[in-house]
Amino acid sequence: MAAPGDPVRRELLALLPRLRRFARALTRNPDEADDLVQNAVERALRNLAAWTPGTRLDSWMFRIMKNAWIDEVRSRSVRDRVLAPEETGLNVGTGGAAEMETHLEAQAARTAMEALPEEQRLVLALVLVEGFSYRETAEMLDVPIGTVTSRLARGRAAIEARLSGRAEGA
Amino acid sequence: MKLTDEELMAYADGEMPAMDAKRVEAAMAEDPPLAARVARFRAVRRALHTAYDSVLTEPVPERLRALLGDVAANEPPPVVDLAVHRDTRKARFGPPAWAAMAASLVVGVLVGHAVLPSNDLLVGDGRYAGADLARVLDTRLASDATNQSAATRIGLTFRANDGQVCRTFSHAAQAETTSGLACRENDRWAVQVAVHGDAQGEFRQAGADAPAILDAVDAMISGEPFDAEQERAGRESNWAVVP
Repeated sequence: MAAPGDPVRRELLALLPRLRRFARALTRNPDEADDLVQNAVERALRNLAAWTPGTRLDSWMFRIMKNAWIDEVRSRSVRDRVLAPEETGLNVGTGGAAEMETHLEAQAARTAMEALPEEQRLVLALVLVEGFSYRETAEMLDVPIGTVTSRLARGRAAIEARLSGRAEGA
Repeated sequence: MKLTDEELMAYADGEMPAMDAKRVEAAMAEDPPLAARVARFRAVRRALHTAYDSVLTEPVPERLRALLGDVAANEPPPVVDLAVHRDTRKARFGPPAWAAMAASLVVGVLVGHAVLPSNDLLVGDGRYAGADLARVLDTRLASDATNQSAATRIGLTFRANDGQVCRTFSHAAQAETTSGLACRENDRWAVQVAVHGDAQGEFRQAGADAPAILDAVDAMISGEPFDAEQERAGRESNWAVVP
């Protein structure tokens, strides 16, 4: 077990904002997201010996987080599943119409993400939010790259349809 | 030519080999609805960033920092983590010579290029910030609650090797994003690097943390990026140059 203040812990500390963003994209509310981050960091600390120095720590950590989340989804009760999604990250700016529009678009995007099947949401979070390449994402998920592209295509088309529907209805 | 959503998305994400990308571009030129579809796919990426990037500037809860032995730190995290970027780049590309190469390439290729989306964002052939952008660079702090949801966002602020204060920015307009690095020069903001989100390859991820922009920061920065307190002091001194 590495000591506090060692380089790996410092790197993980620096990764926390990105891990929290990834978790927010996967889950339905900020508390659930931070619980997931906590779970994943605890797992990582227990398994630090499994990380190969010199390889990318972020990919390793995102993979752990993905596993923690899949376990979480599997164990989620039926009661949880039917709960309505909560309003996440509400932060209405004090500015004018443009800022309000940005806020509404962000809210619509979050709602659209929540409506996606988990496997698609995972791919969109890694590729579109976290900026991993298709190949890196395929490696993290242990699936062929074709699976990444097809999940990405379906999930993204669904979100695109919801966002353009909103724009046309406005 | 029939193009699937998967192919159009690979193109929109800069994941397509150059030869195939040329075919898509040719098809788009003849088929405006196709081009519009690509633009909408890019818009989804931007919308998701708008939806989730504000998390990056939130203070990380103590219970998470404490797991990693950091119980003293109270500063909110920087919007863009240069250290993480440096490590990522090392892991991907090896020698740091790559950084200077990429940075100069971007300066050469993109500043003042006709692909810049807004005529008013940059002025003087792309060499200076336009009035609206200059106002944001003058007054906005990365720690402002509205920064992440604004159309023009501030990323890092730092002091360059020559003493000038420089700031990174990211401007979203329609489906495209322009990111850049501007330094205080007399009473103007001189744009050092600008990257347009419509470009391919290295420029694919054109948020405030676009690799090309961070590479330019890395090449110019003296010391560490400003923390929230230094940034505030910088604004109060009107981003004064330190001899």
